[in-house]
Amino acid sequence: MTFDEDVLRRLESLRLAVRRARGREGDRPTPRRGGAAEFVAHRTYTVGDEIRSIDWHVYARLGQLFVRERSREEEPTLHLVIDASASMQGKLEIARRIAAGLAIAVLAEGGRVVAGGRTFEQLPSLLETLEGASGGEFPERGFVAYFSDLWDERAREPLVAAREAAVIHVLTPEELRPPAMGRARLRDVETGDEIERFVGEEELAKYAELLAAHCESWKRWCREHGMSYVRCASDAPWFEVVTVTLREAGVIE
Amino acid sequence: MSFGAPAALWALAALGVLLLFSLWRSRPDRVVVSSLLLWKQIAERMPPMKSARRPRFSLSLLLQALVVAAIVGAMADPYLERTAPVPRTISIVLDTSARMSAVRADGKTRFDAAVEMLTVEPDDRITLYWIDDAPRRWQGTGADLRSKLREIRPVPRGVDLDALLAVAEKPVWLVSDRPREGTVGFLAGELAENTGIVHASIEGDELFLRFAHYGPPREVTVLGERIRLEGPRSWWKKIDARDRLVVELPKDRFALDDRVVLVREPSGVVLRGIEHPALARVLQSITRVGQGRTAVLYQTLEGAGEFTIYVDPPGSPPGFRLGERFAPETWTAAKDHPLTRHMKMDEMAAAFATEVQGGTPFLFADGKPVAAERDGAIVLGFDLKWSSTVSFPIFWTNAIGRARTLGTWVAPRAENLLDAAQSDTGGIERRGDAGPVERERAPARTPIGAVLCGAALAFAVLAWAADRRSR
Repeated sequence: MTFDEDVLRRLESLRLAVRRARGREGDRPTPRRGGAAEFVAHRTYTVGDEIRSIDWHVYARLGQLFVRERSREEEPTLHLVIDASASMQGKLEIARRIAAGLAIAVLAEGGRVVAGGRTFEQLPSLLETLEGASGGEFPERGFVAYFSDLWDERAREPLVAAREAAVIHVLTPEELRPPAMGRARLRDVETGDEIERFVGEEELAKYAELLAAHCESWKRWCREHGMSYVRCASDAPWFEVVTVTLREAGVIE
Repeated sequence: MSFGAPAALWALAALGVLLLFSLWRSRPDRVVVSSLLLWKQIAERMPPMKSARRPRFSLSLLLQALVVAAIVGAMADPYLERTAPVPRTISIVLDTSARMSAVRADGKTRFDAAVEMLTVEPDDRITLYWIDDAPRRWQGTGADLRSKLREIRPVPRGVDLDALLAVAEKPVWLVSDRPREGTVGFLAGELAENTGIVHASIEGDELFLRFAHYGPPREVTVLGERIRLEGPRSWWKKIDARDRLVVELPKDRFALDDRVVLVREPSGVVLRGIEHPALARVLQSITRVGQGRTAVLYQTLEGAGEFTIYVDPPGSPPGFRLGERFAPETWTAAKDHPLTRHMKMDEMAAAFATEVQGGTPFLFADGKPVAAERDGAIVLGFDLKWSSTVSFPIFWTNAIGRARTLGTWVAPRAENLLDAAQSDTGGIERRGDAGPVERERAPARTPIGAVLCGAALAFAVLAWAADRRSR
């Protein structure tokens, strides 16, 4: 998976729109990098606090030791979770590309990307992994980008565990607008179940209704759980999905 | 292709039934979808008629249709109709007369050239008629005809074709140089120039010849004399006495009539008188002499004369008169007479002798003529008491030899004299008169129902395989 310079530059200018956690200075040291510190309040010095956090101006006035508490933005961590079920055939490619786009933006601002159970801070190694990436876990902390066709309702349960998430609903053109097939024996690619249906105009109209309701159901659920919901076709331009669709959904800023 | 029972073809309507049944039973397309989540929520319904799609090409259906078509076709008794030549039954009459051995300008004899024109098929049934030393008939097929024809050659004489044509069943193909009514002619003529001897005979000392001549005038030399021939001609010539005469013309393309050999030979020697065992044994020992009951015969030739030997006849033979009988004592012979050559007169004996008058005497007893010859006859006027003498067989050998020289001139049949018709090599100037005779053609049917049954079986197997493969 490669990207030209122009695309990389534009992706690096993006910023993942996440609730960035702020820690308090004076606490036990934590491995944080970068980020701006903001004054929050004074408190009495206790043994163990850092000496540099002592506000000497207050000591001069009051003759007592007080420390300054500050908040600092944490670097974002992006968790990429790609649905690896059999139904994702034909959709994995765009899912990986969109995931790569998000990862590039996160790495550019010093963040980290977790994919396939590994943490990446460098782009090349991440891209190599993304070539065949699928699966992943839903962590409690960090931002989760979940790529799936959402045919399995059971996916809602593990998603709930993620505090911040964006659900990218990928569907093929045939799933979005199936053709008239006449009398057909439909076979589920994952379960192997088969049903016979006559697929004519009436059935296609009914399918469109059901699909819209299905997508709307997921959208509503995501909204209820504070997640972003984006739907895209597998044949859509992935860069446009990243820079336009995800921005409109508030996943990117 | 035609059908013996075309009504069975109505069963092809079963193809329509097959197609409808196939459409009704046609399996729906199998489509793999990501999930049946939404499809299961769509009610199943029967497809409307207007939504029937044009059937997709199905190899299995096509093969099934071919099975039905092949079975129906077999039921209709199909056959291939063609015309095939019908074997012929042919009678072929071969003209083996001497004239057919005349050589043409192309070096072939008339017989060979005419035979080459024959064209038969291997399955034709042939009956062949010809004459060599007797009328002959052969039956076989066209495949064997050529080898049989190689065994047959013209004979050195004329043949009577009428007898063969009378027995040959029609149609009759005639191999000859002259056409005959009612036959299909395979004729090879061409030769017109010929000179031949068509008659030869000798009367006394005069040779008579008759020549046949066809073509421009020519001169030939016969027995040393130049003769000009412009057409048929008769010719005479005095000859001296001889036992054998050969008359020969310059060779031409028909050689059989260019040479005639005449041999003096009586038709028979008749012995009249008594039978005697010693005489019989002596005559048997002489070449070409056969003994009858009372006659001694050479090989007999028709129309010729006889030579008679009378032995002690009871009466006077024609041309001779017998005198009184007496007992002879002394014997003498005419000087250098051929009949008494090498005989010993001192051993001659007889009980009684009779004087013979007339003719030319050659034997005398007591000075009286007791044996004479005249006009083809010898008269011995005494008995055969001398049969035990050496002179006995000598005399009879001389007598038979004498009979031969005194016999009538006869033209032998061997190197021979042909009739004028054989020497007439004119008439047909065409090289041939008939081409191949076409065979009739009759319709022949080749049933192919079994082929269609086999095809139906093959299609059925293929249809089963195609159906299994599509599952």
